[in-house]
Amino acid sequence: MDLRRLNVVLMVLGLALGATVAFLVQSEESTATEAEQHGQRSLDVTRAATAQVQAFLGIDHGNVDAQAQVVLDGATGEFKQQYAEELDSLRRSARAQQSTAEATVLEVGISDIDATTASVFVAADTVVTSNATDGTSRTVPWRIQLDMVKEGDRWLTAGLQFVG
Amino acid sequence: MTTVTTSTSTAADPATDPTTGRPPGVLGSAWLAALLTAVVVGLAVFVGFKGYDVLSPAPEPALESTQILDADARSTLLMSAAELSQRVLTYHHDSFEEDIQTASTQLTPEFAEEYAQAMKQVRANTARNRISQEATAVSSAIISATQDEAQVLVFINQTTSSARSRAEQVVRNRLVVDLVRVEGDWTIAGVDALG
Repeated sequence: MDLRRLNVVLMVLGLALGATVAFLVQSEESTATEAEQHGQRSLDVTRAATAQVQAFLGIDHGNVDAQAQVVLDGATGEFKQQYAEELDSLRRSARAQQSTAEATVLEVGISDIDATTASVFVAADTVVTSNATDGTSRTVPWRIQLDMVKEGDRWLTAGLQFVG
Repeated sequence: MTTVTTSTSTAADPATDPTTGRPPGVLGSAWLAALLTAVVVGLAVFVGFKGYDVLSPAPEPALESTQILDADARSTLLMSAAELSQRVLTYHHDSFEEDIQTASTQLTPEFAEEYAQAMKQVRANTARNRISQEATAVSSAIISATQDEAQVLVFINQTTSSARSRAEQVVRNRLVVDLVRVEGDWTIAGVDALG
């Protein structure tokens, strides 16, 4: 047997198999990372939306500024601007009414999501007490839609609407 | 000059390969053949195993832990959840049995039973007070989803009219709808109203 020829054949065979291995490993990895990335992304969006709605709906008349700062920190764009503009009246009414609202996020669902944007729906309740409730508490149900965008490695709220 | 001549005059080389008349060098050596054979056999075995994994259907646990990635699959699920919950919560006094029948077609047997029991309780009142309830899903969003099971948050508005009151009553609901895929179609396995 011509060893040279045999070796050339073996080399070609080795290269072909090597390429196949590379392809198989690559395709396996890309499916795994795609699924992982998607799962992680959904989780990140859900966490950010929960924190944001909790901060947004919660009221503590003695601590309005600190809470507002949490909302602003998780906000961007139009929503951030709107919220900042309404902050003064929010602060005044919270103090005047001696309001507190304890917010509980019940469920978070994602309707649309890609690498940098997500449309999120949140069901939440607040337990409200204020001068108007005569010391008793009242549970208020909420249906909220959030438009979220990823800036850097954080998901921020760019839009917030109540679903009527 | 002289060195070049010696290195190219291969015919005079004592280690010349008898079949080709050229020196075997590294390329013609037996150890390289052995090494390459080992590499090729190793790679072939690896490709065999990997290829089998890739080509054979993924085992169940892997599927269960996989989120729905495909945008089309997501929108099919969202549309099914919205439409099916509308059907379950919509009924009119003048077409009650038909409405129930329509709604019951895409429920799991267990939930169909639960639904039938619930509707049995509203049947008499619906007829007596000529009640019509129309449910409209205003949004639906995925809480969690695999290929075969999903939980969807549906915001639904129920408008109720009856002979007793002239004004329509609107209830804004928040539902968690459990769905399972039965023969390719999403089917309701449970509905829970939040709050």
